[in-house]
Amino acid sequence: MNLSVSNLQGAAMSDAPNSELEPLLDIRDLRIEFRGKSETVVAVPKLSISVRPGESYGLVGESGCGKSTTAMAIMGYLGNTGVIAGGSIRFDGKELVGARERELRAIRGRRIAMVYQDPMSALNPVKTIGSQLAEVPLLHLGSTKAEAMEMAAAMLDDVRLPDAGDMLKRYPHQLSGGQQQRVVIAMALLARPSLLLLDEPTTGLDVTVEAAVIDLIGELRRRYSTSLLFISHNLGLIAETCDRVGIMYSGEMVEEGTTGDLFRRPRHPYTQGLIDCIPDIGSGKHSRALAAIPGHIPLPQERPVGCFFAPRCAGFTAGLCDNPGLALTEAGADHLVRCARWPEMERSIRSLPVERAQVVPKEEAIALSDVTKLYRIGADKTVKANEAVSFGARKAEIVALVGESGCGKSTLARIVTGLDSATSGSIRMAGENIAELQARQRPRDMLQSIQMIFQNPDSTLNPSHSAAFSIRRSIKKFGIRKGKAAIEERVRELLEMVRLSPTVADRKPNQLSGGQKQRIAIARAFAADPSLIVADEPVSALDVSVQAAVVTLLLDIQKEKHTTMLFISHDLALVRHVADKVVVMYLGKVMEQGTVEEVFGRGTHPYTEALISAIRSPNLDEAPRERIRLTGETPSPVNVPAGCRFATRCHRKVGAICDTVAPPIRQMSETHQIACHIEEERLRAELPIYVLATGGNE
Amino acid sequence: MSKFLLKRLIMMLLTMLCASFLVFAVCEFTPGSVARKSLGPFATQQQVDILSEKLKANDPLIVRYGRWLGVLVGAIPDPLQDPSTGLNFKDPRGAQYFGNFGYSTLNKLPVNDVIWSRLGNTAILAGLAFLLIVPLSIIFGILSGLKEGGVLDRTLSVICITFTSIPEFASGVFLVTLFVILWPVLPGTSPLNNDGGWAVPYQFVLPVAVLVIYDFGYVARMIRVSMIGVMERPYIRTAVLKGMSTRRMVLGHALRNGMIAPFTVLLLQINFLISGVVVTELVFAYPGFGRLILDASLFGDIATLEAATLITVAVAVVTQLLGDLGYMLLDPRIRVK
Amino acid sequence: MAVQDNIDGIKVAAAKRAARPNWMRIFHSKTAIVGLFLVVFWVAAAVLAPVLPLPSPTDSDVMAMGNPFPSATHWLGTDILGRDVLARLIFGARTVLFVAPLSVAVAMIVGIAMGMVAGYYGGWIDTLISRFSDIVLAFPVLVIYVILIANIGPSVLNIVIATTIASSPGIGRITRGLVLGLKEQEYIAAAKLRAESTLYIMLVELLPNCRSLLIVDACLRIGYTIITIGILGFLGLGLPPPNPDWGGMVKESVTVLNVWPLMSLIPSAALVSLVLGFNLLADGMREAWKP
Repeated sequence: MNLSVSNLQGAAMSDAPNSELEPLLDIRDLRIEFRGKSETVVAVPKLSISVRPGESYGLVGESGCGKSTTAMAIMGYLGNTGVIAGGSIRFDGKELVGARERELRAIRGRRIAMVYQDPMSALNPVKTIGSQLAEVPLLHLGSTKAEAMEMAAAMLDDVRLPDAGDMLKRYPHQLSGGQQQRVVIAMALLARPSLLLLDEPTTGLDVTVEAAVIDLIGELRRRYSTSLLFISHNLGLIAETCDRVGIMYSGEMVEEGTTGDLFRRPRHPYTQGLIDCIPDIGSGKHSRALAAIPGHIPLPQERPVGCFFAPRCAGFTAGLCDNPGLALTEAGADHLVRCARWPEMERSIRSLPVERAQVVPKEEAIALSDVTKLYRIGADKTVKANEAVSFGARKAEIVALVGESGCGKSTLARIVTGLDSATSGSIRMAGENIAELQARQRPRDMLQSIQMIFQNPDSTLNPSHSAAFSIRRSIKKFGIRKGKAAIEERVRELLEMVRLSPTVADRKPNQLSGGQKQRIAIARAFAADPSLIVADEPVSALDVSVQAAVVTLLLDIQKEKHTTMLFISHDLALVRHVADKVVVMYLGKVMEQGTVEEVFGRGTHPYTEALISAIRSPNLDEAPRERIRLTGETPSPVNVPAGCRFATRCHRKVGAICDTVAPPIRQMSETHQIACHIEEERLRAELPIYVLATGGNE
Repeated sequence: MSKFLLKRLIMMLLTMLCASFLVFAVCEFTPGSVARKSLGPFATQQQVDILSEKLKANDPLIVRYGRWLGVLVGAIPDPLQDPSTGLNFKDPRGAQYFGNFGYSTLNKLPVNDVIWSRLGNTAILAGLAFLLIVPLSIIFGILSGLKEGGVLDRTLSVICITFTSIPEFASGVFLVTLFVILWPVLPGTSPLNNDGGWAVPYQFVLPVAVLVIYDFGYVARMIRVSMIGVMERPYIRTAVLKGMSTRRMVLGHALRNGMIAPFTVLLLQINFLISGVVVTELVFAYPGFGRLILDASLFGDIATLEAATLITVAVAVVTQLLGDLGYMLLDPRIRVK
Repeated sequence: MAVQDNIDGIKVAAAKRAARPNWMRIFHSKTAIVGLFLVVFWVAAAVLAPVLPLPSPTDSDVMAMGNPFPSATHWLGTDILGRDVLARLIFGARTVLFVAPLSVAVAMIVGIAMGMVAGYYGGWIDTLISRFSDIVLAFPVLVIYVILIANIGPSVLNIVIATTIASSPGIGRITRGLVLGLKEQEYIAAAKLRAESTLYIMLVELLPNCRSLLIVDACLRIGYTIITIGILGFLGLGLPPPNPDWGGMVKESVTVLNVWPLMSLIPSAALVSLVLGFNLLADGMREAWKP
């Protein structure tokens, strides 16, 4: 059976932990410093957290807030330069700060265990899964080798990994990301610790895989009554999995409370800002603007006196907010806030006046028809990266390409821009077929009209050159301006367009933040004045608040210049906000395409359903009707299933026909197509996953 | 696997062919001809010319190379051993057999009589040196790499870097001054016989020491780099946070991963020790393979030089192959798909 | 075992450091300073050689022949032919500090070109270049030198040729490895999208990012080439007399080692100190430029 549904309605899974019990983990006034050769950095000035037995506590914050550092401090693993300079960490009554190495070793892995962000590198590549798992009971439970292996096998069953006996002998690189993370979880829970620290455990995993892993964690923790300290930057995830939440900002706790209370009535302006940065399922760019928190997170030496958030806060009041010694105050039952003016800080719901939906010109900007890309590896194997992909984009339209890893969206992006060439098919733009033309074969004006924004801000700029170097080259190569002065002026204009000060131009990339680098990447892409921009996960690597700012910027520029955009992303909430049209891909083929309302609305492809149901929102009233859990793994693109590619995992499989025959295209409307064996009427009959509260859909 | 080995074997043969041809070509530049060298400096030019005719020494390069190859595989007899040349070069194994490296014009003996014993001598030297280099470099490398920047690391690193700056003749000169002249406990030459009054085992001490001093530092640095890389990997953190003591973590995780790359480097040292030790052999008058190459090069004894080249290349390729096989064995990412 | 991602403050300091020209960072390392001192010492000696008040390195002082002990006219004594040892040392530095860096520079150019082409294009070009490199690398370096120099004769040009042949495959391999990693970076794709030529991409986008590693390697190679030149001299394959040659000096005095060990030890020590200088400098640079 492929169907596995858990009816979780929104928020906190409070099994009502008894708040009178002694806290399991009690951190008081923790101060963490990093002592370098010449400078000392205070990562965490004064932090207090307590986690009760059986409770799940979420620690949220953006980069540099100190949440991971805190986890490492609990484990006593701060590296050569890290020092706990003050405060206490009590675990089950025992003081961990200053404890002897031997005591810490007895606790690590046994009473407190950890799950890491990148499971592939957390596992030793040259040792078998079995031997790595068995180390835990051998170390802590005094088992014999045979007993340890048995326990390991039993644990693999618990984490739902099939064929435990075989799995024990395998090596980490033979497993998929999701499977590796399950192994890490198994390793952590083997000795039945009382506290599990999870540091971004699902970042980097596909959404459907993430959903399954989160489920697993929830199930296991209930079974073993483990407390969780769940660290993440993903507000939606925390909102749905944790009992209590703490929001950290620049090393400080700014708000803390039960999940339900905090997300429904956030008190601190930063929390409010964060929640507002996240796109929601019900509305797109025409009805809501993402909040932008101006400024940037202060580095430890830039922290102002008093409230750290003050320089960025609209409600800043001199005299109140810059008083030293600003403490956490009660803002309700079990709800603490560090804000001098919290009673007055009301959350403003940002919504734009409902615009007339823009009249999109009818002319086609680019049309893909049957684009196929095959790679030959070895003598007989073929990787089908893309097969028969067809869709089009009209001028000034934003078409989003969605899918998980292995779906071929990045390959397609490379083909459209010319970094790769298609094996067959056509891509028509301005009358030319560019599908099989690589960048160096394309005429100059064609190259100029298609530009790209890349995913990783750390590698998008050449570290040996100044930040604006590639912008200048682009202007020069395409002859947009001639002469040094004119080029410099254009650079200044472009930087202004992306809201960067002109002094940034001559800095080296390693002196800039991720958001700044990505803005430069945007400026570079627009420098050539292209008519089509391919944006490949342009904001995935950025902090939440920075994502919102960059996305808004991109949308503004696109609107003004009427640029067509191909927006590639795995983040469906973002896609809902940004796109006019959506194309859903799975394993190289298009599963569904249509306008954004159609794809997010009623009657969608089963895979789209599963993707949408995996979206997690901090808006607790926005709950999916049901959570669809896909079983199994995405097949390898070398061995694509015959028939419908999604058949092996589909929860609404019709029957054997799905495995053998390729699905027909169901034309649901003039703009909406679904490739599925389910008949149109039955598809239409399915309710949308998200029943929207306001029904404010256009 | 067998396909892989077959492919490597073919590559090896190809490499040997190419290398030997290149050496043949380079030897073109040497003054003096085979005929002259065979007859010696006192023969008249006329005699030399006649012999050159007989040996067809004026044929184009390719032909002469082909002829040499033919002699090697036993397809044709060695022209130098043809009794009609009057040279009286005799090879007890016959004039035509597989593995006939020809006749050494320098030593006036069949190459096969000269080369193998010399190779054997160097092999002993290399073996002894290798036995010392392996443990020394591993210890130095691991201790340095475990805690980068620590006191131990800095001290050991300086020692290693200093030793790699001391070429063999420098350390040879220094050690000889110390242990032979100032404080005569060791022999100054190692001709591998008892003529000098020193027992043979003593004759190995200084040459081995010189080799070890120069080489172990380099390998230790390689191991250090590998260990540092491993210690930074996240799976070390995983091991520690599972509650492992440092000792267990190092033995169970760090070493296992850290020694994969250095394994190849260590094997490649065999390569260096067999063929690159000419200086040591010269300093200590050790009758070894390196000196053979030097003498053959200086004299222009093509037959010996070619034979030495083939052996050198074979040793190099085999050690490379062993290194790759070892890598496959140690790193499952390569071994298993 | 540093908790890298969260040491933001130290990252700021690092960024500030990076803003300074990266040559300055070398001075933080003690090993680099010692190395630099040694190298500068010998370079100064070599450069100033003609103007220093030294007796001629090639004239034999018949009166003081074979006297290795310091005296008023000969501060480090004379060698067996009566030539002033100190002068020969300093002029020998001149030779070696001219030939070694020159050879390495040429080898670098050839090697980097090979590695760039092999790494960037891949395919059959890569296979061809790599196979060829494998053949050359199959020979121990010294054997290459011996065979070549013995056959084509010792001269500066020939040493440069020999070094290029022996060293460029190794340099090529390093460059190739770097390029293989770098060419997948997004800024390379961005360059392709603005119709930059391959040559431009190699020289302007790729090469600067290989700089620090290649400079460290070049420094090490200069050290190694100095050793090789010394060995060639010791084997009698050095530059022809009367060029003073440290290896040659050792060779000449080894025959009288049991009587005058100092004569051999002095040039040996000179060579070791110079090579040590380069090695320490390279190590310091590597430490300073670690990413």
